Amino acid sequence: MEITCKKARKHLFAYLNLQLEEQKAKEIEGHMARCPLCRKEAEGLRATWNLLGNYSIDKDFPDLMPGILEKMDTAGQKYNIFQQVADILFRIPAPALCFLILILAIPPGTLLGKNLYFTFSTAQNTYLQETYRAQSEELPLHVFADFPEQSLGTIYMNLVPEPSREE
Amino acid sequence: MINDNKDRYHSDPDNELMKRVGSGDKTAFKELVQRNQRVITGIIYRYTGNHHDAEDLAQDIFLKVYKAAPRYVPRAQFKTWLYKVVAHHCFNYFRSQKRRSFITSYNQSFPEEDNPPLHHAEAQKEQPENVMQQQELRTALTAALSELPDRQRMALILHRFEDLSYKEIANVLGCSLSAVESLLFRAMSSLKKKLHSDQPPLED
Repeated sequence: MEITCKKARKHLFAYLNLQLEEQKAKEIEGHMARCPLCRKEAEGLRATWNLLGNYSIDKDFPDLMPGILEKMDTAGQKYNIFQQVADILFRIPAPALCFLILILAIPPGTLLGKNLYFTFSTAQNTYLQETYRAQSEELPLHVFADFPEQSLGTIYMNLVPEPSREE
Repeated sequence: MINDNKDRYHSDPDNELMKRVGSGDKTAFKELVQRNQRVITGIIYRYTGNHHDAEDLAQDIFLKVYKAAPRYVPRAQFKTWLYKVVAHHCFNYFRSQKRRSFITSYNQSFPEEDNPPLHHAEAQKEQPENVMQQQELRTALTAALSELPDRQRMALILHRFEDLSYKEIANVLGCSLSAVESLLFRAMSSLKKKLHSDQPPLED
């Protein structure tokens, strides 16, 4: 299969480095046989590759160990000051403290929840009562008098305040 | 097959040394540094173009290695893990430094007697031509490499100077094979343009 110069160039360097799969390498080879521009490009890449090989290190590096030991000492001092405190505080006591806070928070939390529930439920009941009162001014309640005990009509009658019922 | 791989990694002498370093053996650490410092300083020097930075960064990297030793689990050759540490440390260093002008820092790091200016008349008289050519070439290569993006530069250095395969580079940089191919292709194309600017650009 013929490939374009653009596609061939994309894989040219990998081809020169023998990093391509056989199928792809054959495609590039075939293209290069027909395309002088890509052959020139390949030569340019090879020349650049060879030039890079001349990038030698002009000066030997000294032994790194003394510098590393010096940095280790400095880092060790920092570790003693900050990391030790962190180790002491955050490894065991901190999770234990969080657990304790959680346990201790359960009773007041439950109490708070109860209070909030009752507050809201009372508010809800008051609202319902007001609503039913307004509705009962128009609705004759005596129509529910013969309703069974657990029926909606009886419940409604029970929700309406006494004076309205007497009307 | 899995056990064979495990044995291969465990029989890596550097992995053995790391195991000892993890137990607090400083002699083992010293030996590990001796075995690997030349390679690491070479990579960082070519990456930064600067002797002082290379030495400093190499020391930081080995310090990282020492601190990581207790948690180190050999899942590959030690060198693969070390290259990963080097690559990421270099990327993070330059990201924090926001350093992009290597030629300025390269010249500022060395006093004139170590790095005589190329146009200095006396230097030209004293130095043989091939030494000057070498210096000019090194300067040109440093400048050209410095203009490459971080990952392209690192991929090229690992491939050209450490003979890492595409698969190994992909492992070090944490990317796919096709990404490595793309990085190297772009790096080489940029270098070719900079170093052989007399050649006409290729048309599609």
